[in-house]
Amino acid sequence: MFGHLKSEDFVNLIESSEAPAKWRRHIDSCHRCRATWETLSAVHVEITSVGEDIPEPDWAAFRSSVRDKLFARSVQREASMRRWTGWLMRPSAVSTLSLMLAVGIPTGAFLWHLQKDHNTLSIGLETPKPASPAELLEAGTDKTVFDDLMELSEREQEQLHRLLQSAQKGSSHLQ
Amino acid sequence: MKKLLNAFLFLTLASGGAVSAQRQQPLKIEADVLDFYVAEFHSVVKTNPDQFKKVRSVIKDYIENRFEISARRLEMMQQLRVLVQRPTSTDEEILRATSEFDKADADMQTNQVRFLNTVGPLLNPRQQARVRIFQQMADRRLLQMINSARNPEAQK
Repeated sequence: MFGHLKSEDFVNLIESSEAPAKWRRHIDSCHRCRATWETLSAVHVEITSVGEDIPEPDWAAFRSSVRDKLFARSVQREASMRRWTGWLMRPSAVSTLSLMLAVGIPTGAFLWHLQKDHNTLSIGLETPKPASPAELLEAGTDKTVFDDLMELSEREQEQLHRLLQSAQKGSSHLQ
Repeated sequence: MKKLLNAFLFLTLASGGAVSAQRQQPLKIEADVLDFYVAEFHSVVKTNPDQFKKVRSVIKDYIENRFEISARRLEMMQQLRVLVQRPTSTDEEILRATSEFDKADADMQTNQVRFLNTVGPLLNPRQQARVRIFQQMADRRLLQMINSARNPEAQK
């Protein structure tokens, strides 16, 4: 004598067409097991029909799309890299950059050095060196003025005399 | 032939003497130029009467020396031009003239330094700074007037 069918027996009944004959007979005679079987069969039919509605994925298309997306991403990354570094690789750009570095670094270092010296002077660590007389001469006078003066003709001297007189009248008389 | 040679020598000496006399003779406007520099100095450096009395003679020496040195410098420059263009000039002549020209240049610097060193102790630091401004301003103004005198039509 055996009792009601267990859950795994119902699953085996659903999944295998070759169920033991005694289980079939029990379902026919047992009201409780038949009700369970009918409920499970309905659910199984429903699940099976739903499963049949889901289309099989197109694996070839899927593979192709994945490949395309991977390729597109790789191209995009490459383009992005070229945007940042590509121009650096051009010969003219490389030479320009080299020149900029060759000029810029020493210039920057020199300016930094000057700024450092200026700061040092401004805080009074070193006393400024007075300008040499030769520097004063270059800054102050024009040595060709008197050369020009010496080469004036009589008429030009007269003209200059008048100009100097009028300039003197413009300023205060000191003598 | 002898007469021709004598005439040539006479003309050469006469023209050289004329040039030399022209150089050694003070310019008519020297006094005007001195007055101009003195007035400019007082105007820019702003000296008091006591300072001005002492400084005036220093300025006078300074300007007179500039005239003398410039005359010498121009003369040496003229000699250099002749020596360079003349194929028969010797190296010794050229070197001597070059040395004289350089000496005139050096004298100009010495005159400048002497002037600054002489007026410096008579002035306060602000006035000493103004002396440098005076030198540049006065030279520029004089140069402008020289150019105007050379080309008076441009001023009208």
